[in-house]
Amino acid sequence: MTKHENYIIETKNLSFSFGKFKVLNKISLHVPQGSIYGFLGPNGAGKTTTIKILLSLLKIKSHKAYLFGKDITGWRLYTLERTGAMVEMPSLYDHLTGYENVEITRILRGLDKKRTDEVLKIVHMTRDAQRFVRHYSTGMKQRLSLAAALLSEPELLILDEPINGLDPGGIIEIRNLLIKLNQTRGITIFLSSHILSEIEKLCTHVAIINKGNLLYQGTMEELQQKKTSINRLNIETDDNEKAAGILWEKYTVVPGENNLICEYKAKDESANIIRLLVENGLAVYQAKIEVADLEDSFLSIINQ
Amino acid sequence: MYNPVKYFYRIVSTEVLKNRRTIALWLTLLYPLFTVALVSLFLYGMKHPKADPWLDFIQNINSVASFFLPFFIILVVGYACNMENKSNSWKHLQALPIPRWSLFFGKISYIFVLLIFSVLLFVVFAHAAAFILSNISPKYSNITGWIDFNKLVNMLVRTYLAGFAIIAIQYWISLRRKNLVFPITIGITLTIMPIAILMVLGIAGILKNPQELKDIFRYNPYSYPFSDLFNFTRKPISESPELPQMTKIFLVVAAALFVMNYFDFRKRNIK
Repeated sequence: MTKHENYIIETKNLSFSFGKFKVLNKISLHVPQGSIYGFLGPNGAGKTTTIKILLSLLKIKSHKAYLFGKDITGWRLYTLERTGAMVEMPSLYDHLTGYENVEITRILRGLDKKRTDEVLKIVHMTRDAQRFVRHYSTGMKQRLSLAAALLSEPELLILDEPINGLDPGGIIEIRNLLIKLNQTRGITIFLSSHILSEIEKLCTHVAIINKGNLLYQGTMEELQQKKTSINRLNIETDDNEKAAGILWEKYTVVPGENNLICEYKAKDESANIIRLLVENGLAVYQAKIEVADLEDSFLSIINQ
Repeated sequence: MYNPVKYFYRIVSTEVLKNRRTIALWLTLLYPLFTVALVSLFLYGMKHPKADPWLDFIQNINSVASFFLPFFIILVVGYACNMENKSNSWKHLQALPIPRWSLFFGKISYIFVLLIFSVLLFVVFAHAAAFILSNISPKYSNITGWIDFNKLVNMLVRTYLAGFAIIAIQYWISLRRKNLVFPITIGITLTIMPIAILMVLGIAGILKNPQELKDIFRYNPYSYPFSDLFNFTRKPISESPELPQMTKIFLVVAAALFVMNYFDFRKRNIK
């Protein structure tokens, strides 16, 4: 086993420019086998560019990106053989039926004809397979593209914004489908998104990218811990000004119009804060812990 | 194991599937049908048919076909390539485990299949039209002899070979540009330009003899297939015993363009 085989995707200081415009700056990704890896970042962060590089759509120098332990520059057919992909919007022929569209990918991959029916069944598209794609909704197109990506029973699925443009029902459907594929078939899923809540619900690992720089990479639990490292207590007392004065020395306090926000680190600190205020003769009308979500972590990371 | 034939076969198979219900396929049917119908009507309306009317028939078919050939090529190549641009599928295709060369040569091979198919349709429609003419018109019912199959195919193949440079140029432009309008506009402009110049100069009275402009038709690859129609002194391209020099030159140009286009296609990033 070579050192690159520890990860199903690995990039090493991967940089890429369109002319003089630098899109990626020394990105080092480590995607473990069996994970659902969320690649998170705002629009224009470099997510699609990274995915296109991994799929050999954009040319890079050798020894910068590895799939299944193989350098993608010299092993294009080998790596793509084991990968199913969906890049940006679904690439479907409107004048053909859903079935014919999947057939095209099946023929190009040289697979057994029965696979078309099987993947259509997996994405619940059997009933609509004979309809023309031009009559499909966005969600149906996404599912059909996913069917094409699943044809070869890939070890790795690379999906670029798979829930983009879907309604809430469609999002739940795709999410459940991806979780099922990961859990029942052991497919590693690398997906990009700018929808934070989806990454939170779906992924086991996450990387955050902004302006071509990788800002964070780790498991979802690590990110959860990171986000709970700073807690906020929203407090309303009979004298908020005095309360701010009392807390000022030990905590970071942000005064509001009729309240104040007190930031603290350890979870048990919230009880101490309230006790301190009560011991100083203040009446605490309200004390609400504001749970930091992924959005806070994301914003704090990209604003670093 | 790497098997080039396998990849090539797969690509051409998918091109056949992808081209169902497409304009390119309809054009392949309509171009010979329209041409043969037009010539048949002309023959049907002739008061005094020539001594060998079937030779006249196939010569006219070839002449009309040569005039429409550039338009046919421009549209077929444009629509065949635009299918990928319109559906945004170059990305999908290039992210599949198939070699890039097979994508490039697979599509152009399918275009050649369409061209060959159109030649076959010319032969079929010409025979059908001759059969109908000989049955409905007394002028043609008593004539001995029949359409010279070899001569018709030979003439059409030579005319098509004269259009290879157009295929090469249009293929490159159509692969390069996502917009269908661009390659079609370029192609049609270059095709009708010599005719337009001829007409403008003729109307303005500057041009006394159309022969003066024959070189514009001959050296422009887009008008070369029908350059015979504007050159009455030379033996037609399709009837000279061997391939005309200019056809050979355009074939070499086409081959060079295909090679350059291929290397351009191979090294290109898919944005």
